[in-house]
Amino acid sequence: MSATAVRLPHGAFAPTPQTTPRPVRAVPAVSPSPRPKLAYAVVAIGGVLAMVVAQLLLSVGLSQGAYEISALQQQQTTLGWQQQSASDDLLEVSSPQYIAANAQALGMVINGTPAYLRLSDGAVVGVPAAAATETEVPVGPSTLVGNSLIAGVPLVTVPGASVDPNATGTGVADPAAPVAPVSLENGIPAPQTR
Amino acid sequence: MVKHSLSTRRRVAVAILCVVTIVGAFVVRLVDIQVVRADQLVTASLEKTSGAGTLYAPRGNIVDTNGVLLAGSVTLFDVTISPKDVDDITRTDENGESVTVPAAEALAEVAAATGKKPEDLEKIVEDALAKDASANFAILARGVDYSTYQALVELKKRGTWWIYTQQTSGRTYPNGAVAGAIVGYVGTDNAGLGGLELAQDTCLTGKNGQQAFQRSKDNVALPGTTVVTKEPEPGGELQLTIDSDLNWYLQQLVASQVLAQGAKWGTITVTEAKTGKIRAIAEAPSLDPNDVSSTASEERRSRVFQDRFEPGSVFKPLTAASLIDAGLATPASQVVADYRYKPENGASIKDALPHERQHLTLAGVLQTSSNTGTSQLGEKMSPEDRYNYLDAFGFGHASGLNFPGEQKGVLHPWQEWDNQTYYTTMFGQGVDVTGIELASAYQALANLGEKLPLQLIEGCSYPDGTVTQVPEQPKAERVISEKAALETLGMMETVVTEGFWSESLEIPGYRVAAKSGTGEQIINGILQDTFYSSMAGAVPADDPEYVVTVTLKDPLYKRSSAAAAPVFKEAVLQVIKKYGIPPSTTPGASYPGTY
Repeated sequence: MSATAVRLPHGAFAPTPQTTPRPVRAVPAVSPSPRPKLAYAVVAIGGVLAMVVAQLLLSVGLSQGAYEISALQQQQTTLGWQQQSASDDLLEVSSPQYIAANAQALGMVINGTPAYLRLSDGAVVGVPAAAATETEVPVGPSTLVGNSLIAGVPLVTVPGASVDPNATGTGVADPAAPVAPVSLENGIPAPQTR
Repeated sequence: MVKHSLSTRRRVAVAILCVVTIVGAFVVRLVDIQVVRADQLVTASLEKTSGAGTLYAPRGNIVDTNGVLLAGSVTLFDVTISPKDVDDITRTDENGESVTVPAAEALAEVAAATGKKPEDLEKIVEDALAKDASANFAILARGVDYSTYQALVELKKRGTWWIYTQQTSGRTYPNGAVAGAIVGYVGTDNAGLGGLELAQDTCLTGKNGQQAFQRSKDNVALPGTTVVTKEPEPGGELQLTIDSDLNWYLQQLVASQVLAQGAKWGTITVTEAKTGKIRAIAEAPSLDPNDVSSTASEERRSRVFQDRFEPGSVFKPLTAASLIDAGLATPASQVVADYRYKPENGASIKDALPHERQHLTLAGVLQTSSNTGTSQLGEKMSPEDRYNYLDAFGFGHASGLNFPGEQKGVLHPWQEWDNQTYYTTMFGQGVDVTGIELASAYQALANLGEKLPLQLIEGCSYPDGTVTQVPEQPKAERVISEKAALETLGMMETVVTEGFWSESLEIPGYRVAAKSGTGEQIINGILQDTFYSSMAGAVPADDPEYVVTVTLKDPLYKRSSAAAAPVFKEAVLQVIKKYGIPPSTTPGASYPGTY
C-alpha cells in the first residue's frame, strides 16, 4: 500500500448482488427409442448358426474327402499293382523261351544259311538253302534255357499244351539220367562227308 | 466390530493360501509337463497324431543293349500271421447262413493260396506259439506275387482275419536264364549276391525316402498334412552291351550240344571286333536268377569268367601271328612235320593222331593243327619275345571287367618254362586261360592287331538323366601289325575251307576265319581222356566284325574240337543273320598248306 494510494469511498464499487434465479424446468421427456426389429436378431443369430453349420459341414466334407482320397489312393495303388502284374505277364510270354516253346510245338526248325533278295535288281545274294530238321547240332527242347516264370504257362500255338513245368532246370541233362545214345546222324566222331 | 474384521482377515488369509497352493500345484504341474517331461510327452502325442511312411526307392532295372528288360523290380508281398489269434472263423455262405470254418481248414485255404503245404504253415504257427504263447507275429511266406495277394485279400474278406500282408519289393527276370550268370541274382534283402547284380550294386541300389503326416485315429492321413521329409532316390538303370535275343539263341545252341555230347558244360562268346563290346556270353548249364536255388551253389558262376583251362590249338594262330609280326615267318614258311618231334633240349612233341611225314607251310600247320610243325617254326622266336606277345594278347591279365569271382589265366614267366613248356606254350598247353581272355586275344587279332578293352556295360543311367559308369573311350593297344593280323586271318580262313572240320564249318557265301582247339587236361597228375573242345574265329574273315569263341568241357561222343566245330558254325550263322552281314563278294584267301 503506497501513500499515494487513493482511498476510495467504501462501497463505491460494491458489487450489486444479482439474484435473478434461473428458471426451473421439468426434465424434458426422452423421445422413446424405436422397438428393436426382430429381423436383425434373426439375421444375427441365423448368421451365427449358419456359420456353425457351414463350419460343421465343411469339416465333415473335408474329412469325408480325406477318406475318399485315401480310398482312391488305395485304389490307385491296387490298380498300379494290377498293371504291373499284367505287364510282367506280358514280359514273361515275350521271353524267347516262350516263343521257342510255341515254335517247337508247331514243329518249326531253325533256318539255315541266310540269303538275301536284293530289291534293286532282284538278285539273290548268298547261297539259299532249305532249313532242315536234322542239324549237326540237334536242337534240344526250349526248356534247356530255363525260365521258371513261364513254367506251366499254356502254349498259344497248340491248344491244351503248356510249357513243361518240370524242365526249368539249369540247362543240362540230369547227370544221374542215362546218357543219350550216340546219334549216328549227328554224332559220329569223324569228319562227315555230304 | 473388531471381532468381525478379524474373521474377515482370517478368511482372506485362508483364501489366499488356497489360491497360492492351487496356483503352486498348477505351476509344479506345468513345469513338469512343459519342461521336465516335455520331450517324452511331445513324442507320445506325435505318435498318436502323426504317422510316417517309407517311400520305397525301387532297385534299378538291368536292360540289354536294345533296352529289353533282363532284371526289374516288382512289388511283392510278405504274408504274416498272428499265431495267438488263429482260431475257427465264421463266414457267411452263399445262402446267407453263417457257418463256422475250423482253423485248420482256414489255414489250409491260406496254404493253397500261397502254394505252400498246409502242414508247413501249421508248423510255423505251432513253433511260434511254442516259443511264446502270446505270439502275434510269424512269417508265413515271403515275396508272394500280386495274384496270391489278391487271393489272400479275398480270404481275409471271407473271415480269415488273422493273416496279414505287407508290401515288399522283389526282383523279376522276365527272360529267365538268358545271360543269367552274367546278370546275376539278389538275396532276400534285394541286395546283389552274384554277377552284375553284385558288381553293380551301387548303381542299382536306390535310397528309400521318408514321408510324415498327421493322422486320424483310424490312421487316415489328414488332408494337406503329408510332407515328404526325404525324397526317394530310385536306383540307376544298368544297360549291358549284351543282346538278349542273340544270347538266348546261343544258350539254346550250346545247351543242345552239351546235351547231345554229354559234355560237362559249354560256353559261347560273341564280341564286336571293332569296339570290344561283348554281344553275347552264352553258357550251359545256365542260371535262372528267378529260381537260384534250383542251381547248386557251386554251379552259380559264369564259366567264361570263372573257369580256367588249357586251351590247346586255338593258341596256334596267336603263335603264327607273333612269328609273322616279328618277321620270322610268312604264311608260306616251310616245315617238315613228322608225327613226333624230339628237339635237342630233350622235350618230346607229338601230334594228336599218327601220320606220315608232311611238308607243310605255316598255313598248312594251322590247317592240320600240327604240333610238331608249330614247334619247329616257333623255335625261331626267343621265349622272352613269345612271352611278351602272349602277355600283350592279355593272357594272365583277366578281362578288366572286374566280374565278381573272375579268375586270371596263368601264363608263367618265360624264365620258369621248362623244356617241354617252352614248346607246349606254342600250341596252348602249359598255359591256363579263361574264356574271356581267349575272346579278348581273338578280338585283338580280328581288330587287325589292335587290342581294345572288352566292354560289358554301356552305362548306368539315373531318372534325372545323369549317366555314370560309361566306359572311357577305349584306348587301343597294338599287339601285332595289320599285315600280320590279315595274313593270320587268311590262314585261319583256309582252316575253315581246307582243315579237318571244313564240312562242319564252311558257310556257303561267307568268309569265316577259325581255328579249332582240343585242350588236354591233367587232373591230379593224370592225363584225362576227355578234352576241352574249342573253336575261335571271326567273321567276315577279310574285315572282321564279330569274334566268336566256343568252348565245351569234356564232350563224350566227339572227344575233340569236332564237338565245338558245328556249334561254332551255327553261332556264326546266327551272328550273320542277327546283324545282317552280307555275303562276301571277294574270293577267299588262298594259302597252300603243303609244298
